[in-house]
Amino acid sequence: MATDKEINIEDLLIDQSKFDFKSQVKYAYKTIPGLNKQIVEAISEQKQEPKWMRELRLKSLEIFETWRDPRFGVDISDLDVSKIVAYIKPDAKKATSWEEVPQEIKETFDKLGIPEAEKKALAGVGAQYDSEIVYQNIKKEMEKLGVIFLDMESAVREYPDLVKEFFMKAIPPTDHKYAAFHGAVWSGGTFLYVPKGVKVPLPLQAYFRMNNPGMGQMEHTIIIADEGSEVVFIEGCSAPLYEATNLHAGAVEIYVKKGARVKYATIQNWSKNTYNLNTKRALVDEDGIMEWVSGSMGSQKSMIYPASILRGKGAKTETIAVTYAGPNQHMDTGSKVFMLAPYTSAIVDARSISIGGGWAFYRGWLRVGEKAKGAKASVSCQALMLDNFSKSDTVPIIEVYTDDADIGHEARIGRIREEQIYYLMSRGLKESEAKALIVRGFVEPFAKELPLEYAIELNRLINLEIESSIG
Amino acid sequence: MTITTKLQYEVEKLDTIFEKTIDMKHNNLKAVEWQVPQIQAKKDYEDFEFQSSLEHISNDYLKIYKGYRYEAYKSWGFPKWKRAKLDGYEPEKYVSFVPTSVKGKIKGINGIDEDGIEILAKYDFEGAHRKFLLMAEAFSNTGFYLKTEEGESSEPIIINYYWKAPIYELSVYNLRPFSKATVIRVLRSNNQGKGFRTTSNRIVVHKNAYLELININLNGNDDINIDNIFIELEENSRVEVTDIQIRGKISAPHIFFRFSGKGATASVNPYFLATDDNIIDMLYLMRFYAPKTTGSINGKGLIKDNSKAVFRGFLDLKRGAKDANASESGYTLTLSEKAKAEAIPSLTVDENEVTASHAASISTIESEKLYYLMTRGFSLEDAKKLIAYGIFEPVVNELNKFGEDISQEVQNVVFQQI
Repeated sequence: MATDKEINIEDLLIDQSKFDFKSQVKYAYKTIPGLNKQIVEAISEQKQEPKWMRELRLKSLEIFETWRDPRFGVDISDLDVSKIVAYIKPDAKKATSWEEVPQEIKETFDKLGIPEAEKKALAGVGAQYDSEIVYQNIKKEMEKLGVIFLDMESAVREYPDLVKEFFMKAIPPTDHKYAAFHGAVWSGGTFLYVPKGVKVPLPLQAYFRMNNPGMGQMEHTIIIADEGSEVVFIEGCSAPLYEATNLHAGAVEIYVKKGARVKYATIQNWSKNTYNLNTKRALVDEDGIMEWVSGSMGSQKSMIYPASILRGKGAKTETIAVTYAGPNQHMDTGSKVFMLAPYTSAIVDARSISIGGGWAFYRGWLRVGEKAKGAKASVSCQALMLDNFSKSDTVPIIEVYTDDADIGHEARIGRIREEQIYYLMSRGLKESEAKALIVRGFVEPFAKELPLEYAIELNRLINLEIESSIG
Repeated sequence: MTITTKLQYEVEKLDTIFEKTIDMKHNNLKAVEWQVPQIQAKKDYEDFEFQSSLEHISNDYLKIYKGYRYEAYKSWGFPKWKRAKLDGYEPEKYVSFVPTSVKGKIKGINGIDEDGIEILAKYDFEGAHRKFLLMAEAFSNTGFYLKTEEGESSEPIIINYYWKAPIYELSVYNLRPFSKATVIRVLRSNNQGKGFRTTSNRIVVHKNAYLELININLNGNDDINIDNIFIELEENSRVEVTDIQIRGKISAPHIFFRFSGKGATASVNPYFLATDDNIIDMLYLMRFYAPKTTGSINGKGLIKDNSKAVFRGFLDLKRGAKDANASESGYTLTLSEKAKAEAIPSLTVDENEVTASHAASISTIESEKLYYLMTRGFSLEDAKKLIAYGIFEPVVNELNKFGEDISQEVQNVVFQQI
């Protein structure tokens, strides 16, 4: 990692307050906890939505009420939706410059380093505070090229036909119970359209912050990369730690058109009282490329399996994922790839670290359909167990329904050997530093896919987590 | 203590070790477990069938045991298996005795002794499905009790099953310390209609004992064959299983290895061949509790026509299995456009001081190999056959040591089908 040379390990040990701070921010509107028709209608009313969106919300609610919980994954029996506040509108207008953002909210994002990153390395930023985007800005040059980068509510108003064509089409409300939940109460998120042939030179970013206890954040993200375009999108998320359970049930729908390329990078660092039941799906057309870079560090329980549906000839996908399961964390993460067209290819590199009693579970699903002649896929899972009271599981499902495909899967479980620790300690490192160093080496393929600032952030998180787990 | 009260005592003190197939718990966390839907049969076996199954049994222990299993049987429905396309099951007409021919030193299950009953009472498992396991036990119409003497090394035992009626097998193998045994179980389809077999086999391999188990399943296209085997491995014991699964409407082997003794070693080598509309849904599970244990699963097979093979190999390493070494590989060669290959290799680990890995691959015959053989004068079809047969060649050669008849028979069937 390039960052090792530049940064002293001691400097990386930061205090947890970077993420775990609570801001006193007034809100303009807040629903009562729970979910019913009145609440859903109230949200739609607040947002002054068109009829079709209100109907979609109500239909989703109906589905949610009749659907059963997923029959796999983490135990969510203690998640009480009737206690979750679905919608909290901060008292802030959508701003396109940080000066317009209310002071307390700006301070929050300052602490998280967002405005600074925007100046340095990003083509545009969207920042969501609780249920609404409070800041959205894109560089003028991008705007001139026809790139649309808006908060979802504004997009619904300004580009109704475009949004309607894609909204919950890759992830319909009938997909699973929490997709229906999302459909009923979604709020905020980003709408990004990259026109034909436009290659966005710098990443665009969205940052999601939950500030209130017992709230649910259900942002909806749509990315449409038109033919031959390219874009990198980064998503970060965090929340302070509360006693009450928070719920994150977002949805990300990505449409990769012919010959386009999208890279979607996530660093998920929700507080350890959060249930992260997120759905991410990309539909990839001919010769399109979808790259998922997925880091799941935070939350109490997670179920997240970024999916690529390769429906066009020659479409490709690559998933690089790192999951970190620390004390009391149950991380059920993985990837899904559906290869439905000839000459499609997929690479999955999933790594997990479990420590301090955490449970990392990799769940994969690779389907090679009848039409996927000449398909190639390789899936690799590696797990690092830092102690023997943690747990690390790998359960991939591989389905190959054609005779002309080359499919391979491998997995292995490893540990840090005592010799490695002794060696590093003999060189003057503390035990936690030695372990952190080895872990950082283990996640390097993931880290190097991230922009530098994020790779540094990841290293900080690893150091911090290992320090606190070893104690 | 009378035998009856002894058995009741055994059962009621509830120290039965029950091995669930999937155990999704960790510290204070649990995961959601898939519940297989159940369907009640329109006409399930009842008291009449149960009483008939007791006709050939004089052993009181066994009668009581079967009674318990019959009670449990009633509370279950038949499974709906998504991957194996089974939508419940309607039992065939019951016949209380099916013929088998046996070579070697093994008793009928009626000859089970107290040690054997203790094995039945002490170890329990789910099997491919609880209903099918309990069905085999409650309505057993055949079965064996193998008990070796300490240090004994006997001639191979060959069991031939004849599919004249539905087969319900309840068997117990009790390999005393330092003994060796080889058991070859051969099931042949009569190809005259829908054969049905479900089994329950409990095997305990005591300290330093060795078991070689060879299952040869030559199913017909309409046969359903569910083979449930539980193997307990004590200290330094060794087990080698070869599991040949040829065809079958549904062929569902379920072999569970429980490594409870330090230094125990086991391997299972499944070979499968599915044709026509066959579905072979395999599960090989190794659960490691003890240190320095070694287990490997190495599956290979062919699928053609509209058939489907589901290869499930589970390696489950529990805390305390320090220095355990677990590996798995699965390879499926697809010979036709419509054939479906599924693999679910699973690795669940609670102990970090282990070596564990799995690999699975699914592919077709490489064209280079075909070209090479065709330049040597083989037709395309023959070249394909030759390569496909290559998968079975090692096991056919291996079977040679038990006589040419068996190896020739397997070879012929494989050649005929590919």
